[in-house]
Amino acid sequence: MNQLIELDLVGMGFAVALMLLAIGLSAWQRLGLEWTLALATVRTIVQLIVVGYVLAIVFALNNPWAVLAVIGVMVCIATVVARNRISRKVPYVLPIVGGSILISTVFTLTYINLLVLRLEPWYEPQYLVPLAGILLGNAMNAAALAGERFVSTLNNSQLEIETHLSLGATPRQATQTYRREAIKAGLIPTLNSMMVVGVVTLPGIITGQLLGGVDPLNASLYQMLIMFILAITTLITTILLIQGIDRQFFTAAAQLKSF
Amino acid sequence: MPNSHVSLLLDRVSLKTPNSAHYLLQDISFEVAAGACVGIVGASGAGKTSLLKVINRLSEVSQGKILFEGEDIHRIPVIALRRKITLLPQESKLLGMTVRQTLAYALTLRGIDRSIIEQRLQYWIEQLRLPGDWLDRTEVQLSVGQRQLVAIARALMIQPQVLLLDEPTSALDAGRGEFLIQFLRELAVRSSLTILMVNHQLELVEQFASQVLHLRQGQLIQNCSAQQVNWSELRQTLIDENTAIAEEWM
Repeated sequence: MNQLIELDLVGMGFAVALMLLAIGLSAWQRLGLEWTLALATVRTIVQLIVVGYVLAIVFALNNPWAVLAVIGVMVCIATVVARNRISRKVPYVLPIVGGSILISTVFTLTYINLLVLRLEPWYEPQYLVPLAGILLGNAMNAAALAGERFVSTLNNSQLEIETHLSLGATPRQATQTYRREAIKAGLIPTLNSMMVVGVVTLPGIITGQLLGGVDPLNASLYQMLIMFILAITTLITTILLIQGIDRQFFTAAAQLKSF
Repeated sequence: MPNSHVSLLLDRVSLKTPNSAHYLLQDISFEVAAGACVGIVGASGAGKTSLLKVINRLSEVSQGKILFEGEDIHRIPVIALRRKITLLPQESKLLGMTVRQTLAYALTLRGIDRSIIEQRLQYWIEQLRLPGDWLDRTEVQLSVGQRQLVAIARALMIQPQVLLLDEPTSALDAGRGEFLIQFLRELAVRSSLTILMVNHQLELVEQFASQVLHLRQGQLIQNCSAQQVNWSELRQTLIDENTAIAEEWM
């Protein structure tokens, strides 16, 4: 296997030039995206340089608290981003989103740590940090998709829900269909990518490992592991999230609230 | 001591909009006898739908109390209450089910035996003269009026003690509307079913009601027996109220 080609400043300069080309194309086509593209480019550069240094420090420290602190920060950011895409009006939505993402991620990381990877030491940052990152990114997107869908469906289906309640349904019975639809909506991107992985797409992990010179079969096994843990994490996240939001929509007397 | 023949009693009931001082209902008090047919009239925004919703606790009163069969409705578990006092919203939704499924829905939730459900289903579609070929249709395959009839049959399947109907004849043709009114009136007498019906078609209210409630801007301005109502005067008053509201909106 060839070793990874190290990127130098000249090479990266040419990479950034692609974004200048994109800005030029935007201006030519009058898309109005020049500032957004410029901002996205600057943010990508700054964020990845910062994260590169932070990870270098965490890897060098090799300390469990440093690893947990990094994962903690990632959980907080994923929570706030998902919350902002769902709703700011639903009460307790921040702790509901945060709790759902945290519980599902901790469950999956503990499971694979104990039974699949059997890390020594358990906090091995080279494994734990990237795995937490990919899980949190997907859990965040699934939470945002499912949560946004669920909140808007409940707000738009007041008449149907009150019809269920009028017929003597409990709130859980009244929203059963909407809960299922929202959970499925959160899970569909992960399921779709599982269906075509390796056939149509080569996801980030396998691409990174192949670029890094890892044996393709081993890279495939890692990708398989990633797909399975993504599926269970997004499913647990969305189930917990939807249950939590559902409760906020009803009073103790089974009356529907709207937000 | 509460009168045992009184089905519903509202005592100084008020309802405010959330986070606002605006009253949707203000100081409403009245009694309804078991088996009565109550017509509720009033212009748009008078509080008719809000009144129905507080009675089966889809909305919570801000002040006052409501007694059902002499018992405060807050002391009755809310799901059980809604099976005794069933509300039909103005717009009938079949909840993504076929007619057969939606008719059986409320009883299925309670785990009632299939054969009993089927028996009741056949009884009510016959009573309401619903064609048998409707049973496998979905919401989009029925007109709005047909959905209203299905929704009424669905509510009757529960065998409630009080039926709250919000404009149940609004999309029915004249013949169907009159048939339904007559049917409900006979049903109330036959099975002591108490019916409160909001309806803007005053001629149907006249045929239906034994008691009339007239709401205006959240207040009860008239509560009397149907015999005491001067129908032509009431008709004119409602026209004037609706005109005033239409002018306010313009």
